[in-house]
Amino acid sequence: MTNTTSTIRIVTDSTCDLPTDIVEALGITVVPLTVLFGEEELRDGVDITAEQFFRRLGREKVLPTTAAPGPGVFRTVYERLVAEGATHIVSIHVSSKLSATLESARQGGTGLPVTHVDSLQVSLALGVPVMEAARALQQGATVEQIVAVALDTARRTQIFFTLETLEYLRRGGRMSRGQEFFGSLLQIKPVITVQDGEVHPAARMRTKAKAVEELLRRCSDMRPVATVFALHASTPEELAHLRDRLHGLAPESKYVESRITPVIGVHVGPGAVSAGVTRAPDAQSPSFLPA
Amino acid sequence: MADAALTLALDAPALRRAFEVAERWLATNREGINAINVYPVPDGDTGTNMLLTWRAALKGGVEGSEGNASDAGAYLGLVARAALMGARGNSGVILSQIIRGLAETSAGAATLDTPALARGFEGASATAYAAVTNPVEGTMLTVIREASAAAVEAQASGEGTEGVLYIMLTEAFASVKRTPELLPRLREAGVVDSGGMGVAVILQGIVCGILDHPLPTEPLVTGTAEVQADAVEHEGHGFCTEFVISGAALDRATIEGELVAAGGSSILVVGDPSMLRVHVHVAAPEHAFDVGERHGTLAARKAEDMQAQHEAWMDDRDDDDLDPASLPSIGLVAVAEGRGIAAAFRDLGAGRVLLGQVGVKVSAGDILEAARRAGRDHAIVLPNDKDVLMSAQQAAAASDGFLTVVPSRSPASGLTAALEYRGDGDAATVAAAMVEVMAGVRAVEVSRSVRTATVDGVAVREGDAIALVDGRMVAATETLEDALLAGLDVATEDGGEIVTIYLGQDAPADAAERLPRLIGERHPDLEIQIVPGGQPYYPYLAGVE
Repeated sequence: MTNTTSTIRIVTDSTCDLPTDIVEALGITVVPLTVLFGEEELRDGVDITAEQFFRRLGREKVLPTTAAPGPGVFRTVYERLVAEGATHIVSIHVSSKLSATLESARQGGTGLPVTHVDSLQVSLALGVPVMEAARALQQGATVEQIVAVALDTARRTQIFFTLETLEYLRRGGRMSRGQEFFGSLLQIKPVITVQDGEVHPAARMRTKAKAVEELLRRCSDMRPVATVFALHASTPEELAHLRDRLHGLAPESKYVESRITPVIGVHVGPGAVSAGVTRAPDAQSPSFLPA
Repeated sequence: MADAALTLALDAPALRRAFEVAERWLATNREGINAINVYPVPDGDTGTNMLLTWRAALKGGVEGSEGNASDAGAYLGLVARAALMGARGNSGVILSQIIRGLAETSAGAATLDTPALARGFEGASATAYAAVTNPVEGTMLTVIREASAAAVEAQASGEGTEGVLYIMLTEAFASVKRTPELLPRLREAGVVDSGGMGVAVILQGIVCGILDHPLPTEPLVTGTAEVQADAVEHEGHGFCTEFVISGAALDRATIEGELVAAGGSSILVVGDPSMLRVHVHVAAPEHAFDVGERHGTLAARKAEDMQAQHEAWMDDRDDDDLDPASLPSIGLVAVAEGRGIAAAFRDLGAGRVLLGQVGVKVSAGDILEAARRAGRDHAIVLPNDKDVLMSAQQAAAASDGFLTVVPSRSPASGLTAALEYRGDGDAATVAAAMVEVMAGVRAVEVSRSVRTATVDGVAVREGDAIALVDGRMVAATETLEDALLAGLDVATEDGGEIVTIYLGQDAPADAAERLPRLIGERHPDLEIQIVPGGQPYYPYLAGVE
């Protein structure tokens, strides 16, 4: 069922946290969200890197906020891709319950050959489905097959974050449920996850070490796995530990690691680390899957 | 014996009169029973808890019997039901089970004769044993069992009413005396069992009531100097007054005597000749302060209206128009002493926090009522005190599966358990996760000893700073800080990443600054968090995880 007459392109947004080498190798187009320090608008990962962002976060008195790209930004990107010869675009984005990005992309795509996909995920839990969609495309999948691969991979994926403090998440207002989770009198290292497109509490631990163990325990509960991934916000030294442990957990699986992009960093804060799993395909998975 | 041929036919009014005599006698001996305490920490007020349970039971008998007050079995049924909900403290819970057993054995009886009464007490013993998961001998269980067995045997051997009652009573006090032979910790501490003494006192009151004999004028049990027959009249009123006297050659006994003269009760004076901490219940706090000022300079003065405290008991109780739809599916109830600890539980999602009153435990009924107002489908309760555990379990047993107890024995372990609390999902799963995480906490309690005793092999002098780890005495030292450090040494034996210190209302003012350095020197790898707990009795509570 390969398609040789059409040219399909894949678009996502900067919350996918995919490392540059994967983005380039798979020809993915990444549209940046915006980080706002007061009136100052910075394109996520373009005008400000994670390194610069977390350094600045420590100095700034006013906490930054985030904004979705405008419809015009998407329109410009889609029109450029069409001009470059794309006959169809699959645009896969951060959960519509966490960001207006997908809505903006839909408006920007009016009248253009774009299929939009709500991943109901964020960070590498969006990035891994985008990656699998791009690999399916490389193997000649149709638009429908690419969309099916993206949705199925997203369904099989779960991401966990452990935060140094709940303060950033609280201020960002992205936690939809479990307000009782926000303890502040006792030191709590929360573990959060994304479920049905929303941020949910997963565990409250007393120390970072225990929180990281909990993160790994949750990942190990999800075996058999196809892909494991890990991220850090501002503590690269913690990534090595996660990498070793995740490898031990699933030696045969794919492994992706990356750094949390500034626009997510606004909500999880410095010191956050993350790990996640894409479970192996199951009976519900589409027959076309990239090898 | 005035009338050897007395034929007993106790109807409801006669039982009620006898129970009221027992109430007066228990009230007279309350402070003395309170003073009998294995752990020389002034937080285990067995006498008070038994008295309040007994009073709640009697009140239920009066309120429920209007109109049909003559039937003994029906009256006992009402008393027993009220006792189950009014039970406070572990001793109150066992007492409520004794009453329940008496009521069940007597069900349907219009009057009780001597054989029926003897059988009733025997049934009381059996029910109480059955209600306790691991019955321990040398406790109130032993006393009711041996006393009732003596009554049954005396009755079978042809004794008359007076003979049976006297034999029962003699055996009750003999049994109390033997409790240290059965329970090593009592022997070590040099005391008899306080709950057992409470049972004997109640039996004596009942017997005096039945036989219309006058009660002794002096209390039977005198643990400390403050016991006054009329002191209990102040129950629930007046002010819980505290202060610290600094001076030279301060004499504890003199000050205690003057506080008694000033109308004080529940007097506790601890410290050394240069500084004494005073706790007293008194109608006019200024009289207590006057006593203190005659001897030295006063600091940390505090007078709390005990009636107001009682009203603040359930701090969230005034919301009668509570909308059940606004409650989580699974509610969390925590029992707390201290505003800071209460706030920490609320912060972790406890919808209801039962604030204990100084020296009095919350009742099973309080817990059940809070539970109904905490959750839509289910509630989980954290008793946070070993002496609240059984009333929580009693509340759960009466809740038709609505209430689950996560058996936390200290606020430190309760707060860690609360981290696993979720307002939705499967209640049994949530409770199991809370229990599991609690196992990883070691609780340290630091207080001042109110008695000289040997406990758990540790020789303790009155006024010593003492440390308990998971309820076991581990150290007696001069300063509270040394006791805390000794407790932490034990609690970190098997590792530990973080210690949370809850500062009590009596913690030194600079503790929050000094403790991190002191602990950090001994345990450099331990994360330290200091939380203002505001709890009474324990200047420091700590949890090691």
